Amino acid sequence: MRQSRKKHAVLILLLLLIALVSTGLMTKHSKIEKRSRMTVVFPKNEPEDLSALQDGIRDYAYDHQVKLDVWYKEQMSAEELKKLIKEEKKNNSKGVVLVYPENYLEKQADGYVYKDVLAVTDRMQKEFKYYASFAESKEKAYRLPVKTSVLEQVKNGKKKEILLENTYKLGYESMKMKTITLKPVKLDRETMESGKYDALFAG
Amino acid sequence: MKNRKISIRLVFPVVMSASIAVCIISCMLLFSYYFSTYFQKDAIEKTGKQKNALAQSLEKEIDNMNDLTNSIYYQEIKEYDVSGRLFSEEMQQRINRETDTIYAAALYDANGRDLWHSENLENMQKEEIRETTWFRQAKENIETINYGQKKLLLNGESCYIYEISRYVEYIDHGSMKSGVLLLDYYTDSMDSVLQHYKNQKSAYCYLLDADNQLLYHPFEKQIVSGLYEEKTIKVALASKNYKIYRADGERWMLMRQQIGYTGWNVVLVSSMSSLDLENRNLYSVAWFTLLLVGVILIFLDILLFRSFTNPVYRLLRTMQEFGKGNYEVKAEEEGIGELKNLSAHFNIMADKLQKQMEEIRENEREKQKMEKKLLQSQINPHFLYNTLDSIIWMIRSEEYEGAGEMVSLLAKFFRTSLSQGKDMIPLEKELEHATSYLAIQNIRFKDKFEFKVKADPALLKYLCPKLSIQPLLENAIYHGMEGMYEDGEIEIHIYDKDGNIGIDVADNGLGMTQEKIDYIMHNKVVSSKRGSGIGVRNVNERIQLIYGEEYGITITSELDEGTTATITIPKMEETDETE
Repeated sequence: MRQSRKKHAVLILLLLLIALVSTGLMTKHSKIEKRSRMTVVFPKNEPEDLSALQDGIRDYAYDHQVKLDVWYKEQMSAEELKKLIKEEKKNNSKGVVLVYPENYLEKQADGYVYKDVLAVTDRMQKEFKYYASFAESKEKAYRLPVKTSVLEQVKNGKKKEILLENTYKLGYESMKMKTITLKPVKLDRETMESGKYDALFAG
Repeated sequence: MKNRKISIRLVFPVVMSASIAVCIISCMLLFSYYFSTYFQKDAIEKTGKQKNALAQSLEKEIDNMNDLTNSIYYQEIKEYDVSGRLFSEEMQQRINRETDTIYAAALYDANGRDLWHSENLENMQKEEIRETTWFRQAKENIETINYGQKKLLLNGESCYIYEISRYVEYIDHGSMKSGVLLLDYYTDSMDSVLQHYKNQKSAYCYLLDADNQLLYHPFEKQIVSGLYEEKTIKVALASKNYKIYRADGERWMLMRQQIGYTGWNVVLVSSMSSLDLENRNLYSVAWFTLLLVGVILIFLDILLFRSFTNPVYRLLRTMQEFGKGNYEVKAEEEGIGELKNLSAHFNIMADKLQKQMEEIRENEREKQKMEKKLLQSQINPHFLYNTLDSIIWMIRSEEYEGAGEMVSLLAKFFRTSLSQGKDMIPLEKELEHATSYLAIQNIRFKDKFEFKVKADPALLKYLCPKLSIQPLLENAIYHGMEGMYEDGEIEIHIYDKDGNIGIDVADNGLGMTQEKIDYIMHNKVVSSKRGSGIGVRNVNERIQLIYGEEYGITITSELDEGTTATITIPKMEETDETE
C-alpha cells in the first residue's frame, strides 16, 4: 500500500514537473526576448553624419527585438560611465555600446581598460577590451553616407576608385558586443554600374 | 524467481494511472498535431490573402505606369512631329506635370539616336543606348511595355528609378518611323506598397524582376553588407502556389505571385517556426490543462480505488480474524453501494453463524448434563432395589433391629444422594455417603468384610462429584469380596496427591487381570449387572467431563493380593456458583 502510494506520488510529481517545465520552456523564449535591452551612447556634438551607423544599430535592435536605451553625451567621466553601466545592468541591459567615445569620454590616466562595454571607435581601441572599428588604410576612406558628388565622380570616371567604410555594417556588428575590425571595400566605376552597393547609397 | 503475490491494490491503480497518462499524452500529441495543422492552414490562407492583396496593389501601380506610358505615346508622340518645336514643348510640359512619378523621359530612333530627351537626362551616345537592356527589350518586344532594371539616381537625393521602355512609332518630317520611348519611373510608389507589408525577419516580402534580380528587399542594406543572405529565391521561383521548406533549423513558408505580364514576381516569406512560437502560449495553456486533468484523474483514480479497496481489505482482515475463531469481530459497514452491502451481509452471516455455534454449544452442554443425569440415574436403581430387598428379608426373618439400622443408613444414604439436587458435594458428605453405603452392604453381607476409613481432615472441605466413591465400593464388594468368606477388608483412603486429592478404594480380594481392568475402564458395557464395572466407568467419565482428561480413575490390581481404585480430582472449594 505504502509502495503504491509512493509510486503515485512520484507519478503525479513527474506529470506536474513535465507540465511546469514544458510551460516554462514554452514561455521562456518570449520572456527573454521581451527582457532584452541594450544601451547606446552617442556623442552629442559629432561632426560626422552617423545616420548609417545609427541605421545599423537600429536594424539590429529591430531584428533581434532589443529595446534600445539611447544616451547623447557631451562629456563623460570614468565614474559616470561606471555609474551608467551599473544602472543599465540593473535595467537588464545586455550591454553598453559607446559610439566614438573619443568625443566625450575622458581617457583614464592609468591606462585602465574598460571591460563591460564595446566602443565603436577610431582612436580608443586600446582603452577598451571590446571595440568595433575599421582597419586602417593608406588611402582616404569614405564613410557612409557618401556624398552623391563623390559617387558621381566614381561613376563618370573622374575618380578611379574610392575606399568605402560601411558604417551601417559597423553599427549592426557592434551590437553583437564582440570585437570586430572591418576592412573598407573598393568602389570603382564598374562596381557602381553593377549596382552592387546601390542599397547603401539610396536615401 | 520469487512467486510474488500481486495485489490488485498495486496493479489496478498503476494500470489505470498508466492508461490515463497514455491517454493524456496521446491527447497532447493529437492536439499538437491538429493545432499545428490548423495554424499552418490558417497561416497559408492568411498569407495567400495578403499575397493577393499585395499583387493587386502592385498591378494597380503597373497599370498606372502603363497608362502613363501609353498616354505619352498616344497623346504626344503620335500626335506631334518630332522634328517640330511643338513636340519638344508638349513633351517637356508633360514631363513637368508628371514629376512626382517620372524622373525623366527620352525618345530614340531604331538605331539609338537621341531624338528627344528631358532636360534632367544626360546625353548618351547611340552606341551606348543600343547596349542598354531596356533598348534591346523594346526593340525585341514591340507589342508590350518593357520593365527594365532598377537604377540608382545620383541627382542629389540618391533615389531609385525603373527604366520603362516601349516600342513606338513616331512622325518624323511627316513620315512614320519606329523608335523606343524611355521613361525613368520613380520606384517610390511601388516601394511604398511593398513597405506596407510587415517587414520583419520572420515575415517579409521581396520583388524580383524578370531576370530574378532583386527590385525590392526590406533587408537589402544587410544583404549588400553581407549581414543577411536571401536563400529563398530559387525555391520560391520553383514553387507554384506555396512551398514550405526547412533552412537553418527553421521552417519557412514561401508564396510567389507574378505581377501581370511584367515578368516580375513578388515573394512572401513567413517563418513557420515563429508562428509556432507565437502560438506557444496557447499550446502551453492547453498542455498544462491536459496535464492538470491527467493529474486530477490519477488522483481521483487513487481516491476511488482506495474507497473501493479499503472496505474490501478491512472485510478481508475481519474474515481472517473470524477464520481464526474470533467470532466477536464485526466488519465495518462502509464503502460504496455493493461494498457496504457486502460487509453488512457478512455481518448477518457471522451473526447467524455465531448464533448457530451458540446453539450447538448449548446443546452440547445440555447433552452433557443429560449424560451426567443418566449416569447418576444408572447408579441408584440397583442399590435401592438390593437394599430394599435386604430390608424385606430382614423383616421377614424378624431381624427388626438390623432392618431398622439399615433403613436409618439408607435414609442417610439417600439424603446425601439428593443433596438438594447438587452435582458437587463436599468430600465430607461424599465420605459419609460412602460409609453409609459400606455399612448397609456390610449388614447385607453379614460382616463378610471389614472396612476402614482414613481421611485427611483438611481435604474434606473440597468438593467432589456426587456419588463418585460408591461405585468403586460397589465394585470392591462385588468383585474383590467375591469368593471370600471372611477377612475381607475394604479401605477408603483420602490424601493429598501432588496438590490434588487422591481417593483410594482398596480391597484385599482376589484381584483382577490387566485385561479385566482394561475391559472395565474402556470397553462399552451395556449390562447393568452388579460389578460389571459400568459404575466405575460412569464415575470416570463424569470426573473427566467435569475436570478434564487428566483427572479420573486408575485401577491397580494384583491377583490374590487385592485391587486399588484411585480417584484423582483437583482441589475445588465450594463457591456460590458451584452447583
